[in-house]
Amino acid sequence: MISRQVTILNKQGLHARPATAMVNTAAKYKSEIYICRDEKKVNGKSILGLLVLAAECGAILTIEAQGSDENEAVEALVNLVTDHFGMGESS
Amino acid sequence: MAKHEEISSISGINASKGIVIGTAYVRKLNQETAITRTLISTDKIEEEMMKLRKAQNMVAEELELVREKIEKHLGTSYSDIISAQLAILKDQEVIREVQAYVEEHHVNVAFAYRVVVNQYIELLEDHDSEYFKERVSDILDIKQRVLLALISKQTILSTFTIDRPTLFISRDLNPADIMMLVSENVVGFITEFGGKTSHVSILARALKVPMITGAKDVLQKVESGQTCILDADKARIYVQPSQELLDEYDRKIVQLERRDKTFRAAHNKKAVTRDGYTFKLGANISLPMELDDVKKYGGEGIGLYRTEYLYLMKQNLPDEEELFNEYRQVTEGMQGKEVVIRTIDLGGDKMSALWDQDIRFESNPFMGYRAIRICLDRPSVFITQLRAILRSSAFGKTSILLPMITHIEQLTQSLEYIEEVKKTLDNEKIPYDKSIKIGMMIETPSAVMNIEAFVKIVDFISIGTNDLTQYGLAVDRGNERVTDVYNHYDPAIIKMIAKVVEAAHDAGIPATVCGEMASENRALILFAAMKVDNLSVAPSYIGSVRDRINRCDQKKAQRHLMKIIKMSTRKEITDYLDNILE
Repeated sequence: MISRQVTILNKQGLHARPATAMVNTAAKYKSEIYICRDEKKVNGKSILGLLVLAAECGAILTIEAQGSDENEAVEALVNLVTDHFGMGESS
Repeated sequence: MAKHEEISSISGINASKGIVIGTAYVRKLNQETAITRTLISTDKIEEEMMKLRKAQNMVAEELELVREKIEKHLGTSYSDIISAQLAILKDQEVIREVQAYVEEHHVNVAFAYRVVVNQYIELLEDHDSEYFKERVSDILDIKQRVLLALISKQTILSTFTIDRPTLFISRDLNPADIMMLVSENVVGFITEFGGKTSHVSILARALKVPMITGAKDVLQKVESGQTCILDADKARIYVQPSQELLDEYDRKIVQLERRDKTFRAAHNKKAVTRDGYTFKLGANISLPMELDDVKKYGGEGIGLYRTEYLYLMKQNLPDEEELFNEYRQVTEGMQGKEVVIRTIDLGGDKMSALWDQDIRFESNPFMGYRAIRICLDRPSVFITQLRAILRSSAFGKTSILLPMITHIEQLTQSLEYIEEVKKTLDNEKIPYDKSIKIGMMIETPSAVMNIEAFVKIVDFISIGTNDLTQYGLAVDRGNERVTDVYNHYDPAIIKMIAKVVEAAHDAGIPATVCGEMASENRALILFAAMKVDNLSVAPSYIGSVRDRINRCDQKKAQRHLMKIIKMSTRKEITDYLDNILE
């Protein structure tokens, strides 16, 4: 199992659209994926789970993956978060 | 005449004008669909889970249909909301938890689904953040759809295959709901929450579906199946009206349709007074799909293209391509007739999910982070929009309109950004109209008092009478307790408008009036007298405004204005104007 920490950078936090992007990315991998914030741990392939985290801008999340493609999965999810979920917020 | 007070009626806010009669359909999302808990044997578990998958597929198909409609009418930029709903629908963790629940408790799948989804809803409701609390309605919506499909094997749409026109009543609505329901025999919308400027109201107006928002307790007062009259023009709903009132409204509707037909037939006529003074009569729009109506009623251009909609609808900032595609549809669609594109007027009552929480909940939003103030604070947002507008100017005559300018530096700074964007486009060899005209909105007392300085810099001015009245009289137009203070016919407001129009003419530039006042009969006399150059009104008002102008006499109006300008009370002014109109 591997895990990495990321900070939510986009201003509106992990709301419906980025959460959808995250779930869709996670679903591409066979590994089990979990996202943790404080004591809460949810399935990274579940949009309801991600919404329940209510991660606002600045929130620190831990992305965990376990399975045959765990490295690629975590890599892809970390990139998605640091890239503001591809939502192009430059200022 | 029927005695209206005896009939049960509910008042609200006119969000989209029109009158319709229909059968109420009341959507009560919080009300649990009747589900009983039934025990099932172990060998039936697979069968139960199969039912859930089938129900989910039904709902997914329905959502895909809605997506198609949205993309057809609005464009692909708007379908984000459906992707999020589909993700909620297909949530594999929820399905896994439902399966676990069914296996553990040996209960029917509908019961298990409700238990599992409700747990998530409770968790979300506990949050402090408004945004995450608001997502509860998306989840409730999906839950309701899935349970309906599970129990009655129906989708929301299939419950509307009735032949009677329906009035859809609910707590609130999202744009996807409106797109889904309209044309499925739903002829009007009533919601308990929401205001006139919400993105749902804008959409209802663009689709020309009558809508009343802010109808307090409508969910308690109306039941599905009851006949109702929705009179958005009066912002009133009559529940189970008498035959007499129904007949009266039937006649009214026929009359309105006849009037509308005459107006459409006159689409080629000029907005000219009896003695030959010609206004240019344009349209206010928010969405490209409104162009159809602009053409039908003969709008001579777009006097005000409001660009907030895409920013309000989307969960992220729209990019240059999305904006360009949208604007191009309008500039190209108007076939050379002028399109005045106003840069974003967000803030005030049009808050976007794009800003931080602390900005979204300002204590005094109309005085706060709004319009040009946002653009100058976030240049990248401004530049992206300016690039899109300039690029679209290569496809039809386009002008730029800057909102909420209160001092000269904001104007000069904005002009510098426009020059900068032009230079980059030159370097990139991207075509645009190099002689594009730039104007500003006049909507604050500071702009009025310093108008002589502003008109030296801009190519045209546009008077936003709603905001000018609000700021001029220091009155919140959304606050019911002070509605009597809000009045366009206050002598102070009329003097402000007269001063601005005169200053524009002295400087040799045209003046437009684009607020609600431009469609009021009383005000048209004043505008004719002042020789306002352009009027811009909602597409559906073009016909009635033109008709009124055709019956007006400019020279007489001028004599009236000389008297009116000396009056000191609003009552004197309105009485005088009403007297002329009779």
